[in-house]
Amino acid sequence: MKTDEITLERIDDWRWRVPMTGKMRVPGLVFSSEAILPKVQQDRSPLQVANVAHLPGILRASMAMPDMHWGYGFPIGGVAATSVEDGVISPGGVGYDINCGCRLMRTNLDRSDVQSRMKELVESLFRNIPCGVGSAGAIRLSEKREREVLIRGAGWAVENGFGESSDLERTEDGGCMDVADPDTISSRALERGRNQLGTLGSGNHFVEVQFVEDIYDPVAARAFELEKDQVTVMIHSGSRGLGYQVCDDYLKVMNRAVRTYGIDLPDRQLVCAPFDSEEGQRYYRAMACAANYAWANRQALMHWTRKTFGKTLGIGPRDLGMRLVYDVCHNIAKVEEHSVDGRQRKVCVHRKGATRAFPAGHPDIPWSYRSVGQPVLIPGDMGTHSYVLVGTQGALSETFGSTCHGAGRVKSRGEASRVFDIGDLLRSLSERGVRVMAKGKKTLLEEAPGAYKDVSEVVDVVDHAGICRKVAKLRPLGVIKG
Amino acid sequence: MAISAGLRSTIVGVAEHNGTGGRFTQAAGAALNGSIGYKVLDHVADLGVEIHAPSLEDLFVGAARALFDLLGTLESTRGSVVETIDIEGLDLVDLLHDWLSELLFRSAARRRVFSEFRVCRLDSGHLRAEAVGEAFDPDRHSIEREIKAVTFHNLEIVEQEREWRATVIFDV
Repeated sequence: MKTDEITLERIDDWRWRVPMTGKMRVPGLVFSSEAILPKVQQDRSPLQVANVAHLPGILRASMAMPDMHWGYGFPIGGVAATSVEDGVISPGGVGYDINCGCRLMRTNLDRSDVQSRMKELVESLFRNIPCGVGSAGAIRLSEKREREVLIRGAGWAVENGFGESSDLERTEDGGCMDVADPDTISSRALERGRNQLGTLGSGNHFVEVQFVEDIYDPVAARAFELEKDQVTVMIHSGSRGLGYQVCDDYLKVMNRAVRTYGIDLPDRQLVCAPFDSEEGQRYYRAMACAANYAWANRQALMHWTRKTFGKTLGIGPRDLGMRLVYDVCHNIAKVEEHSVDGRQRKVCVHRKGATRAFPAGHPDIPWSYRSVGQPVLIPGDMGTHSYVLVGTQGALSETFGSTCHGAGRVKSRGEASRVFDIGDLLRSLSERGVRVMAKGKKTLLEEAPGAYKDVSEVVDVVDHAGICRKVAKLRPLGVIKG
Repeated sequence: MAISAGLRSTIVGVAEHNGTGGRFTQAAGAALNGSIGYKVLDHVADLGVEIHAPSLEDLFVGAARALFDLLGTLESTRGSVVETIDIEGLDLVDLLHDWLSELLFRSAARRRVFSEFRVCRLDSGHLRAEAVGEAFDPDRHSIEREIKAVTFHNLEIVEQEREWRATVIFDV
């Protein structure tokens, strides 16, 4: 659909419909607000929502979350579920950074325990955690070992001394998608991943030390072991060069596949293949490998964070109590069972810049959270708030158990570099009591808060729309970036 | 507040030297750096460039230079190790994508940086080119940003009034 004008019909304060026109198979459903919507229309991402609705086998609606913005084929913040029997799988619905995601750890520390030591803590983290472009990880992998990482994910990391097995229970999918098959990974992707395990990356990846500023849902907070003024740490990172290469490799495969299978698309970047085709299955298994790599990576980064805290503050692991609250994916395609038109069906849910948000009682969430629901982690932009939310029945019924993932960009990187000044940025972060150490000055400017939507507005939309519920607000004390 | 520029990283890799052995076509305009250039396009989440050059071969040279300029290493790269890149593709756009992707791969996975590029052969199905550079050295080279991939978004090559233009969007 090459029309520039996309009509958005208001459903209620938090929902807008993109009506079915032309060859759209389902309508579009955009979660937003009166305040955010003008920014959304500016980058024309609603057009992408409409385009995604053309995908064969798409079910219910082509959705977008309030942090949506223009992406590759699919908008960032896009959710699309397709039938595994006659629907497609599309790498653009996952993104280049496969399993870019986020984990949150709680500690026994109070804000007052660390406030005066933030400089030391941030410097130690910056020293101990490999970050920045081109940084090599501390984990040396032979090809054989790398294949094991791709098969076992976070489990591999735990088996090799990075953390505890109890961490796995609090990771989405236990930190491992078992359909992973390293034979579907190209030698180039393997080569790209060989020296990057245990690196943070750069761009919008970070390790952030925070404290709990507000609690909105005391019951859920208690289940997640969160309390006011408690120190937490959030890690945001993905599958590094291995993931990017897998996406690139399979976009080429899918480019040929759309011709083979006669798939008619309004946008070339929506290239895809039937889920049950050879190409579709190979991509799914390769994507799972990259997802596992990312989980192993975040597990290693968490391990070094624990060690750094312990050493810098001179406390043992039991006193530190740095336990994983949860780890979520933001860029992934998952085969899940959902109720569609009254019957349970296996569907392939694409979440690109979106987070799974399962409710209380769902069998796929840890036993200790079964009574409240799955934690949802929403990192804010640099130096501003992050949120912990919880999944709801509303999400399961309406969005295939999905919600937003973060703040979403409003300014291009070029504009951000022109408009923001590094001195002003650092001053404003300092005034907010945030210590920053970053490898790249340019990245810092490109990641300035003004380049993003207000994460509080984004979170309010999903909360009001009932697809998840606010649990806690986290405020940064210090952050390291690549 | 501390910002530390530059990288601390270990170089893993061995400098390669590929001998010459290809046939050179007249790479017209390869030395005319003044008329090969690029501008950055505003794009919300990614990084776009529009490259212009007096010939198709120069366009491929210019695109490669733009890539390493965006990475931040173009100016500081001095080496003279020559690597040959041989690509087959469906069409020119495909070749451009694969040319830049191959350079990005060698940079990211094999820690190479390049500053000079020569197109030996280019037609709609085949590219043979040379990239001249060195192994990445954290003491001299500073990578400004990570480029994840070369996307197909708006990827196009256009000839207009004896000038060639290409648009490339990088995922950053």
